[in-house]
Amino acid sequence: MTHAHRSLHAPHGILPPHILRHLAHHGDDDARTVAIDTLIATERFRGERQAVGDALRDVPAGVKRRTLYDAGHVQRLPGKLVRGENDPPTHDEAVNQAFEGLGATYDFYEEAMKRKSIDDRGERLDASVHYGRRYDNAFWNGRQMVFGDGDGKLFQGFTGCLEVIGHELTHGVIETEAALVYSDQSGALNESFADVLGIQVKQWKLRQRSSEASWLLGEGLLAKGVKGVALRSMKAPGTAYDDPRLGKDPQPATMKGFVHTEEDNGGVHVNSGIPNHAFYLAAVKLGGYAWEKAGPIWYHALCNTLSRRSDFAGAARATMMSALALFGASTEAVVRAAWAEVGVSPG
Amino acid sequence: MRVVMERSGGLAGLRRTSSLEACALGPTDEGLLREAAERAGFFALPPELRTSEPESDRFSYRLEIEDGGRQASVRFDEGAASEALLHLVELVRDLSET
Repeated sequence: MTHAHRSLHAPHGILPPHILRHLAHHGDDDARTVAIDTLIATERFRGERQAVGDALRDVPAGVKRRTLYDAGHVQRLPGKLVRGENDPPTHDEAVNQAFEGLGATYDFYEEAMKRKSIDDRGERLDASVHYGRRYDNAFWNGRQMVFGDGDGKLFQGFTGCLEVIGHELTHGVIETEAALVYSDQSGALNESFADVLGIQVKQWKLRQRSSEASWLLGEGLLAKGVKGVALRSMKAPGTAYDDPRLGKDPQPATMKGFVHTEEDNGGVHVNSGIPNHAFYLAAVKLGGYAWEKAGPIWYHALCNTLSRRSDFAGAARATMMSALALFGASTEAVVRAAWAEVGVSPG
Repeated sequence: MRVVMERSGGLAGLRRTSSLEACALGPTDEGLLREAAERAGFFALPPELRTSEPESDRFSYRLEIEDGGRQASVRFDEGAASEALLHLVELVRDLSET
């Protein structure tokens, strides 16, 4: 049994990978050779299948094209196709909420930021709902959005929160533009820009002025009985929740509270409170709707000045430059003051 | 059998710890855990499983299992985990909440 092309049929699932791995480690010479060949073939098979899928998915639609899948409560993507762009609503609320949220985000970027989808080339928007069992998260995996149903104890379903959908799709925008590295200060900026643009999707949809918006990220996401109102507050970082099971919202509002940690890629979801608050301060001071002045300034900086390793000081410089370029010196002064209030100097 | 699982990250950026002791588990649950750990090839995994770059809003885990003289501790990104390992994570979470 030393024939190089013999296979244990793993590509068709006859022998599961853990048995193949066991054989590769512990089998006799012949069994090891076949097991290793089969594992390599399996990986190659998976790679080809992925490549075919990627090639199909990477064709930009050029227009708004949403495709919704049902992951069926397992952690395998994308799942079963349940709604395309021209299909009527389904009986599944999560599917319809996700569909509407993707649409609102697409429309926000097109109308308010003059951007055509995530890649600015009309990338199609794919999403899967009902991912995993009681999965309490939502994420963008570089190709599509993924929504869990929540555990029902701490979190409700993630499709009901428009700013969360805006936040996740903005991670795709960030990836296309500054590609901020997802750790430490550049990672906290990555999170903050996702919050800044995500919250604007909601405010834009609801036609809320900066002065009247809640500035809460993940509003309504916490389950009944949890002591809190959202995941984060851009208006008052550190006040979104204080619950025996969740703990207290750890976000700082200023550099005095900056958290040094190795967890969460260097506290990207914690220290994002600082640039989040700077945006809030600038938006409220500039008045009107966030997507009219403050939003375009931050978006312009993201697309034109920021780079992979930018830090908070770099973001302050970039947004001040954008403010000056787009609206003039008085607006630049407002942006400078907002960063100064959270303890960030442009250097 | 003893199991400790720590999770961080996610959209909420919350840290959660789950732990299980043999004395608190019935034989059925212990069997389910053992089977899930075997399916995931848990004791043969390297100490770290990472994606090439951190993925936004994904969970990260540290899972430690001691069972009958075998012991392993693995740190992994959700995006780098096999489906069988993710199933093991779900099972630990479920059993620690019951």
